Amino acid sequence: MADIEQLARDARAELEAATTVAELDAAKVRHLGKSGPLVLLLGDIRNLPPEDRGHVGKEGNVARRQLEEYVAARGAELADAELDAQVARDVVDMTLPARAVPQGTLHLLTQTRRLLEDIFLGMGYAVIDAPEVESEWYGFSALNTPVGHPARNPTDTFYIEGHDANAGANDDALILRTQTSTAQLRTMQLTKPPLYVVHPGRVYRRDDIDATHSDMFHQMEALAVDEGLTLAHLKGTMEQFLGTLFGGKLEIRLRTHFFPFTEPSVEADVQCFNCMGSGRAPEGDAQGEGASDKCRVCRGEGWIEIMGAGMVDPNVFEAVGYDADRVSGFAFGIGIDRVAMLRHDFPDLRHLFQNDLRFVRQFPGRP
Amino acid sequence: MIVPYAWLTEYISGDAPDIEHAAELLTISGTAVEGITQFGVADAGGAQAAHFVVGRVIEFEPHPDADKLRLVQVDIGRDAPQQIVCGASNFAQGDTVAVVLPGGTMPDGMQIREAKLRGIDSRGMMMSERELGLSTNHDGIMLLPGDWTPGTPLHGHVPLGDQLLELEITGNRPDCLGVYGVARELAVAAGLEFAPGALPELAPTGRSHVSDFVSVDVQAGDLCPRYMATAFTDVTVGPSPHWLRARLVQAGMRSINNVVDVTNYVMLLTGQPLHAFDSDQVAGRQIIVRRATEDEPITTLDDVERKLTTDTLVIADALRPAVIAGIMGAAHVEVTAETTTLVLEAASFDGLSVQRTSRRMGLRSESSSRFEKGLDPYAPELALRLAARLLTDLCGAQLVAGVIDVQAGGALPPLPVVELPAALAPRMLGIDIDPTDAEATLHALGYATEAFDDHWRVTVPHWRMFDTTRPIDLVEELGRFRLAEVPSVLPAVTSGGALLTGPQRLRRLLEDVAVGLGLHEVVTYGLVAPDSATSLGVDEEDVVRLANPMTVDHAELRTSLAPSHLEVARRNVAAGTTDVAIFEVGRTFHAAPDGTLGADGLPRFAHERDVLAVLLTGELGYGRWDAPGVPVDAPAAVGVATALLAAAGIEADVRALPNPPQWLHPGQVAQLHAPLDAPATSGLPAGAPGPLVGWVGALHPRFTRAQSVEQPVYVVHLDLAAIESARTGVATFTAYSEFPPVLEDIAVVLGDDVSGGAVLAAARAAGGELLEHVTVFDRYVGAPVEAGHHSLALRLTFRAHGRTLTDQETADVRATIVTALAERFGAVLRS
Ligand SMILES: [Zn+2]
Repeated sequence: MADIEQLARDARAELEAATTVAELDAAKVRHLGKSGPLVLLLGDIRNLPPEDRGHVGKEGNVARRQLEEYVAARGAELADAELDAQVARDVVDMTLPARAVPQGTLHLLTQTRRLLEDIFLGMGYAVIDAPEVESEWYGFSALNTPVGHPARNPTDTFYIEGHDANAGANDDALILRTQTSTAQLRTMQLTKPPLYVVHPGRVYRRDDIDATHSDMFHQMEALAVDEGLTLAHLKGTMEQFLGTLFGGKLEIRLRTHFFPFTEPSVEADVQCFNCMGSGRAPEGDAQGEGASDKCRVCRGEGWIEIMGAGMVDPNVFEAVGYDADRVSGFAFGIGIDRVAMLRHDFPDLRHLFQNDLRFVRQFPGRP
Repeated sequence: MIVPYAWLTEYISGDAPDIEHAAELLTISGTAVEGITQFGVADAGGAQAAHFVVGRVIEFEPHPDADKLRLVQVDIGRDAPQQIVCGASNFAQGDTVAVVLPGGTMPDGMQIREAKLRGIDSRGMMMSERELGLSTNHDGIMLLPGDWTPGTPLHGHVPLGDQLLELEITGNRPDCLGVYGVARELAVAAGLEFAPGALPELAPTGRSHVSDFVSVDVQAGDLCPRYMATAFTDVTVGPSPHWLRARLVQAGMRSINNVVDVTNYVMLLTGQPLHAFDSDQVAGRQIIVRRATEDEPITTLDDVERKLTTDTLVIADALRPAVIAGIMGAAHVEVTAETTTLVLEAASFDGLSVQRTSRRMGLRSESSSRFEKGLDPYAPELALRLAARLLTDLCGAQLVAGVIDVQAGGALPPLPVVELPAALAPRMLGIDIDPTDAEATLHALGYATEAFDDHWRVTVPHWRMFDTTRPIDLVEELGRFRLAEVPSVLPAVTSGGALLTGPQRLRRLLEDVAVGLGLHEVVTYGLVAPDSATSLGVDEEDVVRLANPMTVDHAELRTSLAPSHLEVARRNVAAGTTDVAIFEVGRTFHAAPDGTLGADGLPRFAHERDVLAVLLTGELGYGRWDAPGVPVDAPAAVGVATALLAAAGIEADVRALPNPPQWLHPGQVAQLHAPLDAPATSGLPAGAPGPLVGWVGALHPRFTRAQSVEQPVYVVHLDLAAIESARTGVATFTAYSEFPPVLEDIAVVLGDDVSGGAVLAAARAAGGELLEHVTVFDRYVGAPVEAGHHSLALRLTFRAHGRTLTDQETADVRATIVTALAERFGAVLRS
């Protein structure tokens, strides 16, 4: 019969000699596995003389438990050391270029359009949609733009082939709309006042494409019709809108102008957000070649010409069956492309439609 | 329009504001000042007045050391003569000349100083017209009238310089196309009085009568509401006096001769163009106002022979057209140095007619640009009277007795009388206006008012008779001088409902998801090259084309965004960006028959659909610096398409499109369907697709190579309206099973003409409620599967609510699926 003490000593020696988890596991299998000498001895205990069974069983189990405790403790120690060693080896230069997880961008016009929409949504306006192919009635006549007005002419406005008979003087002739004001008519035809809506959309004009002109561009029209609306409400709305858009409390200056579909008509200037109306280049403005002390955003004027507006002309109300004696309204239109150019400081409109991804990616959703 | 400011202020009594303030006042009240420029000598009436003087040549001698120079002694009103060295030789002793003295600053900024010319002291300079900006004449120095006193400031005789207002006159204000009109505006805005002086009476000095020189027959009264004419004898045509030439030049016109200059001056002053004929050249002494005959020729003053059309109004003599009415005269009746008798026309023409003729002929003049705005028929008389006085004064002309005045319909149209409710202006403007102030404004603008309890009866002056005809127009008159008083008030928005509509929210959602998928948004033109649509297989009659395109490549409205996006890809690839993943929510256009109505019941003049278009080429991303990324291939494109649809709540049913249009890859196009809603009641066979919401596929290599793009290009096209209508309202919770799924794999052999999408759809339909999910995990071609066939391995996921499925249940469903596939596609189960 083997000596339990000897068996335990042998096992202990081999377990202690293990320097890795794997060696320890192997030694553990050899000594404490199914065919380990001590295990076999304990498994064979019923074959011992009855008087030996008691102490062999007791001593054997004690020895086995001590060995198992050692294995558990030593195993944890070795595993820890091995993990530390591995972590120490697994160094990655995290500053190398990353895996290219795709990241897209919203076009600047979409960002700008949403910003404008959101400002008006916050003020309680609804956003409406409207077609781009229109009749001369929607495009001109119903907007109080008579035959003979320069805009109402094939030199200025795109007409649709096959629908251009007597172009300029034919309510049924078809055009690409030249302004988003057409949406005013359609929404008033569908809805009774009060009405507070904006309509961002695309318009077309027969302009040569250059840095500030395009045969296609984007406008947002705002229309409010209610009882008791005045020019003061128009001014207040502009102030709220433009202050939110450009940041800060900016003054509005109204100048008399002429639009067929509003009376009185005004052009609105907003105090320059770059120089806060001083006309002088703010400190820190780029002072490159040709730099001057004039503010480059407003060219020293202190004001930025920003939109056309006015009180809805009674003839427009009449065209859609509104009662001009009961309600009044104001409307204005602002160039979305122009707002984008102003806010993001680029001088050439064509960037917006050339879609060079090196331009598109420059504006990843900064407000 | 350009208005010299000092000229303008001559018609304002009191101290006119400085020009910057005037510009602001004008701009705010509706006459936009676009710029202020200096013309001629700066501060000519102020600090510089003493430096620019009249001089008289006392004597001169040749410069001792320079053949071409003269040493001149000039009387400038001082005790001692001024010695000036001069290079000109066109003057004689006793001539009166224009002298600039040391201290003077020339229009070009040159400072005049005492100098030595070839060793001789020269104290000042004798000036040419060009040096003063009065003309391009530099043949010699200016010679002045002999009665101008030496030493007196030149500016007292000739306006040497002025500040010019560049004005934008809006289409409704033809009255501001003359200095008078702008002066009236400024006077009202500045609280001063407009003082044009008394209008001269017509004072005939000749013995003859106008009828001795001309008769007028207006045959086209619809285009000529008024035609006035008179005649002058004993005219001496010659140069205009300096002051007149200076005014014309400052206002941007050229001096021609005294007669033409007078007509132009009066036009600049009043806005009403005039025309002077050499009466001896008017054939038959007849003026006939008529429409031209077809192709009738006229040689205009610019020496161009032009052909007229039958809707052109002409002023003809007995033989031929003498003027294209309101636009330009003919050479043969032009006033020349030989002219001694004049016929002066002051007429009113239909603005629209002038505008159309001018545009059609590409011929614009100072006259046409005024007439086309629609001038009032009262103005000709004013202009005629002013011109008659000037022609008499400046050209030695004798005015004959009598004036011809032909008015269409026998009378001038009456001046509008407008009832203005007192409450209207405050109601529209949001400010209170004192009634006395309101009347004062209207009176200053030329309106006559009669006050009643609650309204005014306002008579409109003739120069506003077309523009101010309604109460609201008068509200503007009151408002435009009070804009600074208008407060800022936010309306209490009472319409409610500030939420984007479903389609608007869908658009934003898809845009955001597309960005999240790594796509860059682009914005492309709505107008595309001609035949873009037909090259995409769109029927000729479905295309919306422009009647008057500006450029060849913007000739029709796009029916698809793909060609524009391919162009974007081409540009970017060419610029070195070979991975292009872009999208755009844009509108496409197809022709709509007359009478087409939209869902809102309003007319639509084209079928306009908003689509989300995606283009993918190169790598989709996930590359590393040391390893390539995921190449864009067909499954990647389908993945993008289905991810977008999934974000919109649509589990895409992808179906093969075996015969796509020629510009798409014949073997790589699929249609995207929404799931069939309520298949049991749809009446469609099991496994039939739901509504079509878009498609995905590769562009045909021939199509992309034509655009010099060699790499494979995939596109996705999603129809936003179709997606919106396929979405099923607000998503509601569906309970899910707590019990484990049972997975089973089957493999079936199918003909190669059977598409995976159809098999999956059929399996889904056959599997019923217990089949939670089905997908493909292997597709095998080759032995032992016979040629023309493939083996498709499907993984079926079964699960039931509230219980564990029995083996028998799953076996039954599985058998049902196998049977369905066998019946539908001839599928054979592989063992
Ligand atoms: Zn500024």
